[in-house]
Amino acid sequence: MLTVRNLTVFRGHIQALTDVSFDVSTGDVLVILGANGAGKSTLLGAIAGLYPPRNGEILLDGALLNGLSPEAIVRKGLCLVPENRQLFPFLSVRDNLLLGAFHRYRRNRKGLDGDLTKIVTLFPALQEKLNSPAHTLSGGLQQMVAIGRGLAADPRILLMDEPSIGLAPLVVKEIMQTIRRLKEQGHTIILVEQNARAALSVADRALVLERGRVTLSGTPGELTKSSGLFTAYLGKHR
Amino acid sequence: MGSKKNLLLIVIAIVVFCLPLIIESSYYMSIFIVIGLYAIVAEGLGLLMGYAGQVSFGQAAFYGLGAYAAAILATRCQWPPLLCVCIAPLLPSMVAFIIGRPILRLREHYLVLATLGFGIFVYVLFKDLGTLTGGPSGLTGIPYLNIGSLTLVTDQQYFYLVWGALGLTLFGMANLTRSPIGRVFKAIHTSERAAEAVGIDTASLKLQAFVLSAFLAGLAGALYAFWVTFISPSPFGFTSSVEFALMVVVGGLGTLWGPVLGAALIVGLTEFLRWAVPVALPNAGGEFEIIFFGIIFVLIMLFRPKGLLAIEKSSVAMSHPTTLRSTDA
Repeated sequence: MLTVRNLTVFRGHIQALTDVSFDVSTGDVLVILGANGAGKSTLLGAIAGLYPPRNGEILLDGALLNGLSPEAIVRKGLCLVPENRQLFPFLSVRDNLLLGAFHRYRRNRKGLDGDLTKIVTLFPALQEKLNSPAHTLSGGLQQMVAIGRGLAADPRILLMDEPSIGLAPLVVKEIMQTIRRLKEQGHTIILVEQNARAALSVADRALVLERGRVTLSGTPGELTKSSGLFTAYLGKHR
Repeated sequence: MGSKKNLLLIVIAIVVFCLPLIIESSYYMSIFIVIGLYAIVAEGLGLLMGYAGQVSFGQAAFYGLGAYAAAILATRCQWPPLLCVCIAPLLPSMVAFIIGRPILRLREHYLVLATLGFGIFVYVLFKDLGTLTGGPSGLTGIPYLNIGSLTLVTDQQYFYLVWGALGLTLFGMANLTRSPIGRVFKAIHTSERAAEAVGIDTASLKLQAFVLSAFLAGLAGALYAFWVTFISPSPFGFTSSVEFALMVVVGGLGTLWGPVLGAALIVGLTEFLRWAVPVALPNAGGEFEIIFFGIIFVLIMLFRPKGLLAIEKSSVAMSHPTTLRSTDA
């Protein structure tokens, strides 16, 4: 479904990604792990069109995405749930969710209400907060709004950048359960996480980035069995 | 709440309607016409600054382009004045469309400098294209505006025309800012990067706001040209651009009525100081007015930094324009 080949990306003068390659199949959850500054968010940003690649290819079902604007990539079916939520804090939860569906306003406005209902079904806690400004919500609820806003775009692949960041362990658990439910519903997800244990619990495949390069990849089982670099990055596992 | 708002609107409309019936002085009538014209420009700039989050210090250039386009079409091409009013705002809109793409890619200080440079460039054109614009001496012989058989001659008639146009502008702005597009503008203002991430074509929407702001400035300029029947480059210089930006900021960014209040305050304050300073300080020169003007605005910025009509939540919004990090879980 999504193929990334020899991707090289610069952030200013710094080479943030070097020759990154991987594939994601329909319905899979791919987890990208790595330490701070490894290039995980840059990788998601590059796929979402926020950082233009210097070299390499990003292909969706064989069609090249390089050079497309972020909004064009959303229209192709890839939607980013950015790090730190990046909500529109003083707009209501409903407005935040509807903004996720902005690119469909003109073409298919009818389906929006139904989609909003689906999102609220997935996150029932949002039901009574629909008219509240997003900044009044707790961090966990804000993260649900951010994921809901991503889903409102009706994406083929959801790109999630550290959804557990800054959240209490119980809320992280809830977010991971949500990701598991999304996977069961057939969504394809690329998940960037530092919380390796939580992320691997929902992953079909995972890869580890080190200084912008892929140093390990495989199934969660393969990764957890491999010591070496994985242990050095993420601490000893049981 | 809604009925109170409607009642207030009706009262405002009645007061505006009655003003020309009460005020006989041509001087005071002129002040109200200028307030109306500047409020139209400020409403457009308010959309750009308060909703799309872009700054323009070149709005007087669009105001001037509208005025000169209307004046040149009416005097040199002999077009009917009403047609000129309808056509003239298209020139600044087209110019905004052409320069908008490259200019709006810039951010913050660079955007300010680019719009400022554009304003100065257009001002120099007004002065140097003598054969077309009349140069520094200006363009004379602009006819009065006529609508059907009615020729608008008096200040009272122009007052109704200008404030009618302002009313339509406010109506349009109120609908626009409440529409899905208005919601998108607010999103861009809050975080352009987040807006891009959810698939909003921020470049195109910023351009639309820029073109609309230029259209409104051009409309005000065209009305101005037919009211004064003589135009010269001086009202379209850098100072006017700064004043337009001040009107929006002082009135309140992201508010519907803020630009109108800002226009009224700045025009009113200028005229008041022009009268009051010589009375209070008989030996003071013109510069003293500017000093008082500055002091008053420093005070407003100190005590109402987000503008007079900005409500608390938008004040916070402006101070955290990008991300809201979660504080709890």
